[in-house]
Amino acid sequence: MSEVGFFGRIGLTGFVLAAYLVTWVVVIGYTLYLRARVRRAAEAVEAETARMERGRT
Amino acid sequence: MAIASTEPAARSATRRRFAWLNWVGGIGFAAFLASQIFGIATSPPEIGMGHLQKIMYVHLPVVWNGFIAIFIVLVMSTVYLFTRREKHDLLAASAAEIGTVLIGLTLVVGSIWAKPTWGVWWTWDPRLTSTAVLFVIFVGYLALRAFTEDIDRRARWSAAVGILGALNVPIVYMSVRWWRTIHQVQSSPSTVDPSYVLSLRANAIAFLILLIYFIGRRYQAAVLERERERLAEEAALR
Repeated sequence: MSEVGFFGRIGLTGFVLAAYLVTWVVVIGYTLYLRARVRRAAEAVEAETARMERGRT
Repeated sequence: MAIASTEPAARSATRRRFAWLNWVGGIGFAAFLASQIFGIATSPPEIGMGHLQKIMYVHLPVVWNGFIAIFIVLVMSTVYLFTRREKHDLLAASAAEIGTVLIGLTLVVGSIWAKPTWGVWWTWDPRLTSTAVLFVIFVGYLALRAFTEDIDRRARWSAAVGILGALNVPIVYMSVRWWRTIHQVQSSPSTVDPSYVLSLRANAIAFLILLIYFIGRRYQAAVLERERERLAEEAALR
């Protein structure tokens, strides 16, 4: 009886698995990076605006 | 009495403007996952390389969308040089960053595919070399933007580099026909076996939705970062 298992039967082993994992890591990692960058940029705008308001008063 | 939001104004304003991105991102991720499962589950092993063929469903969508991103850089940079509108510069910069990530990912996934099929992780083949050159040019584009402080100069210079860099894409695409290479000729739904066409198309379209999401999100960050730069300049002039 074959011992290849489920992932072996569908061909998701070794190099194929590595290619898919790398792609998903980059896609998810880049998404998280973009969300963090948007949040940081919005906070920086708020901080700059607050600084200007303080300067005016 | 008006109820004031506790969320800062800039954040809530851009969040409303780019709220549609949450939907695009959700649909993109779901479509990409579904199309990959469909491709893995339904594709028969290829005669020559067996199950390694399945790498095609990530390698080709990634590189095609990388080329689309760089094409957007070309269009937006050209339009910027004529109109000098900030929006076009920011869109070009956003597309350039995503293009660089996708071309880099193409090189990595291609390398993973090369090892079991060609026996090497890397070879100085015309297709691989021209793709690496494209990647390095756009890393240079991003470095140029990062290290140029003057906003106008940064936009003009990066538009020029973006246009010149994008002209490398046809060279990458045609390299497999112009020079002797171990890389196969261009793959498309018309050149692959019919049993792989639907999965390939589904994966490519799903990744296109992700590309729209990435460019939109990166553009949102660019708009906010430009706003902060403008405020800082304004404060410095007082």
